[in-house]
Amino acid sequence: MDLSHEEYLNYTEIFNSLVALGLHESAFYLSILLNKTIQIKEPKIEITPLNENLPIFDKKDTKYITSVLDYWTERKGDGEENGKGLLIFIFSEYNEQKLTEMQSPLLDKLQNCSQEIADSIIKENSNILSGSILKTISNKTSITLIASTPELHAGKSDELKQIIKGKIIEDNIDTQKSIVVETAFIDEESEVQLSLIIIPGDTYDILLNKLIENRIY
Amino acid sequence: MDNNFVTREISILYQLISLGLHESAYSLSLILGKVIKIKTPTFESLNSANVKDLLCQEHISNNIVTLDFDEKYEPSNKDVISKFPGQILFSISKEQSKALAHMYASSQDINEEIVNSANLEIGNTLSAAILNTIADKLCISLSPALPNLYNDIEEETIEKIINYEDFLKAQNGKSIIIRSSFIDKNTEIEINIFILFYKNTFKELIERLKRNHYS
Repeated sequence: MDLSHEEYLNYTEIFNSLVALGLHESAFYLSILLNKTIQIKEPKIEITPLNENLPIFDKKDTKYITSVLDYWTERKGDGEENGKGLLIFIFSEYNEQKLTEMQSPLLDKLQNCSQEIADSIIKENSNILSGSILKTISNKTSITLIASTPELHAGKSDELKQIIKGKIIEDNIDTQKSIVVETAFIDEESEVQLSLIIIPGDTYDILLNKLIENRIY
Repeated sequence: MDNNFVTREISILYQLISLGLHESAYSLSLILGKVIKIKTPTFESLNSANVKDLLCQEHISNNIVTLDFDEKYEPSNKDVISKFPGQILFSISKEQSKALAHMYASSQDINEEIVNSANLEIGNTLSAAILNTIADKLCISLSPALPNLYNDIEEETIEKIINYEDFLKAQNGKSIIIRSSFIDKNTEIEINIFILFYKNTFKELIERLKRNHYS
């Protein structure tokens, strides 16, 4: 690509804004599903190499719930898989509870919401979030992106770090350009913090190059 | 449906418009090769009768880009059934217009022609993004006409700019005013967008929202 370093950096930020756009879209779909207005807090997005000190799990004694999905790029026509990445959604236990309160219309009647319902809500949110983000990126780059179903893991930060590390090694994904997102769902009554790590691996260059190709000059 | 806004549906419509604004910021980023963000918009709804007053009080000295929209905009073909007629007004102060031109052209040498051109382009981009987003999510088609730019309007011409007769005749004539800003590293540019719904457009859109998503 015939771009200066500064121009290239601008496009990496534009790519980040696509992730933000996908998050806003997911809030729209949640509003429709839940029949009330859910908004997304303006996301803080950073590209960083992912090392041992995963920035998200900041409190050692807190229990977290993660939802992990693989995604692939697929060339149109030949169906050949040509890139793989990971999406990891992270909620603290406290925020999982708040999310359940925000999104379970039956909660008043159920009083004690079962773990099964809470897990189901996390899975549903992961599906909506990943679907919106990947669809937005896919629409703007004309590259088909396919996601797996979410896998849930719960535990303290050290346990989850090991699980994520294992997944990264198993999938052999490059973590140098990881996208770390901090945001929140907001409704009239509460704010639910959530973190997202996108480890795009080799899909990053495929998608970014396509975005640069599609630029309008 | 009575003349009051339906709270739940209007809130969804606001979200759609907000999504459209984010889309427009993304499109501008891609056009300009640098990140342009949109400030969280604020919304206000007005009945048709109050639009002219607001325009006269707060926007008379602004640059205003207007464009009509409809399901299929074909001004030459009078037989086309006009299902979702409306109009978008993009209003920006003269001072902010210059800042917009600087953001757009990245040049120190900004003349009136560049300012006008930047206004038209941004008005076009914003309108297309908002209309596409609404159309996409409601499974309808909304097409914009070509934009017109008005620099120094007078009170009398406002009625001509906004097809005022049609608007006042509209049984469910409604308008939404959106206030937001484009933000890049160095600048924040305030923008105002009016969406005027003619005839039964507002009612139709709300019905679509109900039908598509709550049935």
